[in-house]
Amino acid sequence: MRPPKTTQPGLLLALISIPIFIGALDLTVVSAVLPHVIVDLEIPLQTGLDDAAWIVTGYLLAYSVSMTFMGRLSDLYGRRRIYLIALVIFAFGSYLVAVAQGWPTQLALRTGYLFVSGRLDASYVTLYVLIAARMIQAFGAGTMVPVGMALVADIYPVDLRARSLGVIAAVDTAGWVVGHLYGGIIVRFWSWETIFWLNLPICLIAFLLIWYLMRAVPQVRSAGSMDWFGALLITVALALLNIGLGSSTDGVTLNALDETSGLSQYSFPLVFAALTFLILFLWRQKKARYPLLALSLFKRQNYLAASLANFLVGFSLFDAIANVPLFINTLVATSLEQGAWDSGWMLSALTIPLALASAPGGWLSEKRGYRLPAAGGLILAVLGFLLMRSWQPATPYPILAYQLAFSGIGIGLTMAPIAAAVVNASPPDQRGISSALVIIFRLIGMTVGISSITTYDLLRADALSESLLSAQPTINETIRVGLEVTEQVISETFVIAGIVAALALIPVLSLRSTFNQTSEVNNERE
Amino acid sequence: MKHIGVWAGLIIVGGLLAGCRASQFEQLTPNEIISRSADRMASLAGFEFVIERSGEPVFLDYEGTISFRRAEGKFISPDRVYTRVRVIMPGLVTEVQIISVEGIQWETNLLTGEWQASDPRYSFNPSLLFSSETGIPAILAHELTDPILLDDIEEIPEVPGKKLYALETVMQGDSAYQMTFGMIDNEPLRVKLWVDPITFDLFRVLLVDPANPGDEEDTAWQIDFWNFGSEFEIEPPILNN
Repeated sequence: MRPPKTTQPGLLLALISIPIFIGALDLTVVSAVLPHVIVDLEIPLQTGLDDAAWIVTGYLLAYSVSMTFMGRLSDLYGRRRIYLIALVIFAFGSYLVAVAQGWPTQLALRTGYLFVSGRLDASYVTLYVLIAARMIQAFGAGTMVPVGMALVADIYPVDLRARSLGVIAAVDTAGWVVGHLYGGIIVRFWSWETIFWLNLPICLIAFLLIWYLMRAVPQVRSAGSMDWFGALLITVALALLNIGLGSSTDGVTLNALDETSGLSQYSFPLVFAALTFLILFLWRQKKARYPLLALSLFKRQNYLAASLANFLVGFSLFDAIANVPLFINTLVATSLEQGAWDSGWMLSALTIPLALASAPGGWLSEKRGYRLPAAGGLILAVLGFLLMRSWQPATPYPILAYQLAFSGIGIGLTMAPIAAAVVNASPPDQRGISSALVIIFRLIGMTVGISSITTYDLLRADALSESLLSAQPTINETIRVGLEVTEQVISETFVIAGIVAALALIPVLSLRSTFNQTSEVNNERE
Repeated sequence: MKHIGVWAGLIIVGGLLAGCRASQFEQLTPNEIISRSADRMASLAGFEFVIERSGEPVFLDYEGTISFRRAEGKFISPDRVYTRVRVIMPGLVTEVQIISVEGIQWETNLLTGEWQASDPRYSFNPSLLFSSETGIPAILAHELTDPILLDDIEEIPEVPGKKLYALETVMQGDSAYQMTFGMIDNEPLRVKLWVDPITFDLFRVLLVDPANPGDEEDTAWQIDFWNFGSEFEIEPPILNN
């Protein structure tokens, strides 16, 4: 079989985009079905919730970590090859997630018993297998984003490159925008494992087509070497940060015996260690001959300000994405299936307006500069979050939907100006990595957001429950207080989302309103 | 053809080794094995245990909303037990910790984790399971009928490399019914035991409660023991109020 001499760039762009879309879809697909998964795995709420949150956090973490250095690896070893390897990794991870309760758990148990003399809790072993499988999946999915962007940059001429990179970024956003709805629909009719089984035929077809059609595309390989030490430092920094932020809940409600005190005492040292590794990574990037990240870019005011704003927007956005399913599943839905279905649709009231508002956000930033649409959007988002603070179980769905739409439109308006501020502040040869950085900063914000919000939810729920319960509560009183506390805590986390979105106004207001990207870069060069 | 001799030699050596291994254990009847195991269990200062239910759910409350899934804990002879019990409620899996000391029982609140006196209507009393008068040691000593020692010495995956006697028997459900507050039916149960041939420690008990009319499947109760003879500290919890 000979490859075609010329393949339509549009076809290749579509082919590259499909796995990226599926990978991004799997980023949020679990948010609607997580309660279903937790019950299916028989993970207890009090002791297992913070571990179960790693099904989401682990994916976000591995996704963002792989984005930081796998693009560079593809520069050295060939983009097509790395893209196809990433696709295989993603498909293998999806398979492992789908079968996690079967042979991988048995294998893990048998291996565990070679080292452990007691009895392992099979539910937790399955959970850890599932988290590991999700991280494998995410590593492949995250790799496909920067490598896909670089592939597209190779295929398209310079004048069409920005638009095609925009398509990849839009596809990635579209994936996580509809992920929860997709998850909700699937578990309404089938098991949650179906979500991951469905990835396999799509990956297989994409693999064969990309392998065949891209054989004719010349493979550009850069000189230099891979900064493995830098990659290790950023991986350790991000992992420690997430473990540290999440570990402060370990030991909550487990105050019976000394041995159950958990990791909580290590929370601060872990976060401190994470920051140390981050500083080491920055130092390494400054010294390395072939750095993963050109730190000089952050000397540009717009680059730094937009990256910081993106981090904060990611934080507040995931606050909503995590708490809407929690609100519906705990306080409204009467079954897990209904909870997943309703959560999926209700989150769409946030994410679809978000996606739709990014187009006028881009148009406004071209006409009026970055600051106006980004700041206006953030103010709308803050108002939306403050409205969501008053949610009660009896609040009708249309009210929830319009308030979510308020925040969604607000955040959507900020997306394009922030992304444009980063990309336009970059020299032309750095725009690929800058496009990836836009996503990375938002993802890191989301990851830190979910770790810290889960921690806050559990600590606050524990404190409120203790103050509201009588000395000898009956089961009915316990359930009533539990529901009241959940409502109160969710309301407070929406306020936190609003505060974080308001904080993003500070870097956004420092953005220099520039109408011409070329002039900005040129001005800075002068 | 020249390999046949090698294979035959290997089979003979394997057979001899297997024979040596079998003969290193004392030749005992099934009743003697069970009796020694019961005595051994009753003599232990303490041990750790896990009880896992699989198959048809078993409910702890009259309304049929809270089903037992798993209990893991530590026992100190004669009557101190710490247990972490996992139950499944509609749309929710949760855990309660229980401490029993000299017949008094406390449990943690589902929400706060704070210790409180147990609500007798919903209580699962693990200390009864290991009581030498009414619990598993007593059942081993008096309630099992016509035990059979299975031909093969078996291994269980949780203790790789450890060879155990495997026995099958039947027990009347009365004692199990009393001991578990009705979680196990008052009917004959199929029982399988795994016993250490040297120490006579009981590593595992599997009770199969046959399906009742309307049930989809049998209920299986697997009880595992380890850390035989260990001593733990189990004290009454400190109550806030």
